[in-house]
Amino acid sequence: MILRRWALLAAVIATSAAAPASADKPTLTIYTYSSFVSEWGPGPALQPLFEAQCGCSINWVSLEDGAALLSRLKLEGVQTEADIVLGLDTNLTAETAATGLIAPHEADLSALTLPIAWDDANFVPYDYGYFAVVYDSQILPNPPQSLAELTAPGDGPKIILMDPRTSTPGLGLLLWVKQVAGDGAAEAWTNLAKKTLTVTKGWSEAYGLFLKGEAPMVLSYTTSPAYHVMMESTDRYKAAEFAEGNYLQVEVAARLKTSDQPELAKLFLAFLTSRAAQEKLPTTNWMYPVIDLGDALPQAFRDLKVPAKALLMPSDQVAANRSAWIEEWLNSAGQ
Amino acid sequence: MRIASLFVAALLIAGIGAALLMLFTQAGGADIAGLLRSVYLRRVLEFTLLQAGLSTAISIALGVPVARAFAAESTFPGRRLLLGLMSLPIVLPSLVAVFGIVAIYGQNGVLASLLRGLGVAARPDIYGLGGVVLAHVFFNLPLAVRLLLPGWQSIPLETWRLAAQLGMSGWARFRLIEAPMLRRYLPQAAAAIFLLCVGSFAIVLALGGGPGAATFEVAVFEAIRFEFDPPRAALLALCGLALNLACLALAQQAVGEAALGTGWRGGAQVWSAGWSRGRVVNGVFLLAAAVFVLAPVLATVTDGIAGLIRAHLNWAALARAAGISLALAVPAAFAALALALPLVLAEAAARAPDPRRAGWLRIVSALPIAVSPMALGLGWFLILRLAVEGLPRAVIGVILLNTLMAVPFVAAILRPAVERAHHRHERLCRALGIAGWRRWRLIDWPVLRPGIGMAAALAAAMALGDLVGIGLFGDARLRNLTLLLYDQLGAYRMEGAAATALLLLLLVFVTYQGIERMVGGRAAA
Repeated sequence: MILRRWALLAAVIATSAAAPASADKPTLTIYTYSSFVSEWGPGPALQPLFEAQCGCSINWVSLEDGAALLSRLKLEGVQTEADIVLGLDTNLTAETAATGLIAPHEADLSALTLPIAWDDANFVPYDYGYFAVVYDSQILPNPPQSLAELTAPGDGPKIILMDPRTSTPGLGLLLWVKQVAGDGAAEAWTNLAKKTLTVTKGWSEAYGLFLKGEAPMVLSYTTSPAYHVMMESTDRYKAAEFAEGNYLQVEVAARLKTSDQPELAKLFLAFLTSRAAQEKLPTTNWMYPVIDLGDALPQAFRDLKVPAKALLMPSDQVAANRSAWIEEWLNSAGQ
Repeated sequence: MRIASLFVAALLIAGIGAALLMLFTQAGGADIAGLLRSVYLRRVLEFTLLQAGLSTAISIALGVPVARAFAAESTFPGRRLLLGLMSLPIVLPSLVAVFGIVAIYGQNGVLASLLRGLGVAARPDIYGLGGVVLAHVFFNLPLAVRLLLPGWQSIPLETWRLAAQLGMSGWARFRLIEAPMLRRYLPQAAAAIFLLCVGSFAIVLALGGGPGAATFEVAVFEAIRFEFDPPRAALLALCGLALNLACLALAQQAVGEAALGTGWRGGAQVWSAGWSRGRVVNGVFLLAAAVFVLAPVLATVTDGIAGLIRAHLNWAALARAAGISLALAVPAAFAALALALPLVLAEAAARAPDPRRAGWLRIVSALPIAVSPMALGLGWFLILRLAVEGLPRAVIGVILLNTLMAVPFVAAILRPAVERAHHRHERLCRALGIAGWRRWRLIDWPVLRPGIGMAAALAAAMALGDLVGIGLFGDARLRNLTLLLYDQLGAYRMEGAAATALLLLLLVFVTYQGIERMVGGRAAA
């Protein structure tokens, strides 16, 4: 009884603290990952723009990360309250589409300037980035020049990695190594394990440890240095340029078949790739916009070296082999 | 009390059973045979047992002398504050603890720069088994002290006086007075610590150094998140539960039935005045433990102050997050108290007439930490989904999960006080015919009040650091301080995150002290 009263009270506090949603406006429920709707993320910047345009209100449901979004959709199935799911990446799209819950986006994506051709009928890309080894140039003036060098036998400077079972960049590196090293992936992982300081649950812990000076290298994005340049005026942290190219991460959104607001959902997907929305993304999500912003793209982003080659595995290939490749990683890196 | 305790025990078992059953009803191709044969899983099990065993052994080996020193030196100035500060790690969110530990013992930490200053080439390398055990001792040494200290306090003053009159040596005192007491308290403290180390997750990954260092909880997480196989997750959770129950049963076997003293009061005396070798040893242990435990806390504080100065903080958002943390944690703490108290009271009553029953009640009260929190949370998410939605579901879910997780700790803190009170007053109350509400109001409540205050305070402080519940029941409006901290880290805001960590630490400390004093009254220590 007490518990329920407190639950009500807490609910009242929380709702009154949140933006007041008027009753007669339609609501668009968006499932996304937590950092998208944090104070510093794109959510608070995009919400007023879209709400002014649609005469509706957005109800954000935030989960831990992209993988959590997919598992929540699988869990809820056709009963899901989501109208939009936002924050999956290309490694998860095939599995998400296989749930049968996703409706075609019907958006005009002709303005896209992704490094790859985009012909997916279900998912709308809203930003992208390249996974990269970010290093502290004050401690490590000569970082590895290639993935082959990083995964060569012998000792070397330490790197902080993420677990591919619990983090998207971690999975990104797993696929990166697999695509570059192929059958030699197991050996590459055994070698890399010797240079690994630790393998954290998520990007946040790893990057935090890196900034604390625990290791001179960390798995992150080519766009990470732009944050330090723009917000901290330092070019100390740089992304290593790898000869083989960098693995691409494209973040996508989609609408659900079960949505009772299909028109609003379509409107939102179109809005995501609009110039107004795209201009907000580089400095909130620290990723590249998916359309050409010209001069509106911050200088720090224009100064970044674009990787020699964008690597990306087909999503269905990832879905089919992920378990086996994780097993391979466990057996070679986990000794 | 008997009926109430049966009801609560049934509630706890049903609450955990329903969550696991719900997972089994979900679709998923759990390859059970394959799972049990998996080489990796066997390795995870080996590592789990190794790290948990080592962590428990070290925490207890250090916890005994430190608790003894705290009991013996009962009057030095600042004792209460020191005890309070040293309890902080018990409730520290793991993420904050990891950064605190790294700031001291890391590659670039205080210890490393000290070594460099001394011209020593060696650098501390904590990543691996060493780091995991270090972090677990950091968390659990304070818990060991908290759980063992009541043991010494249960030894009546008269016993010590008699020992002095008989001219007992230190060794004789230990063998005849303290060892039987430890047989009663130690097994349960060790079991609780072992269970916590088995269930540890983020710390093991962050400091473990590689995928070879993982616990069952990582496998549960993987099954839920990546394989999306709830039955597999439930099965893994059951394996973990079996391991933990075996451990609890072992502890049960080891518990000695030492007679409780019937003296008037214990603990509050200086064993010997003036300086003696024993007191110097006490001082050394207290100092060493304080430095070990407080250094990472201090690092969190200094980083936090630097962050407060440099970062641009959104105070409104921080205040709202702190408010949400409190609004979720306080009800969970009192709900946990309401569940644990009948269990512990009934256990104390059953001790003499029916030790088996008492043993069962004790195991039931420890059940929630024997089950994977991820599996428990997901199961409850599925159950609540059938009845409520939106924000109320998130609020109820988070409170429910935190309530369940706090019950074992509340029970462990309450148990010594309840046992002592029962032992002391049971016969008198029977003789005088004082029972029911009158007995509670006149006899039990005044005696138990400090213990109840401490238990409620600990539960609230633990729930303040919740991330599992908030993460699972995610609602964008329900962002507590821990999640805010995580968001800051995720948005490159290291300085802001450090400031938030400090504020979280302060909130935990103030809440703990506040509840302990309000509920526990003046006598709480």
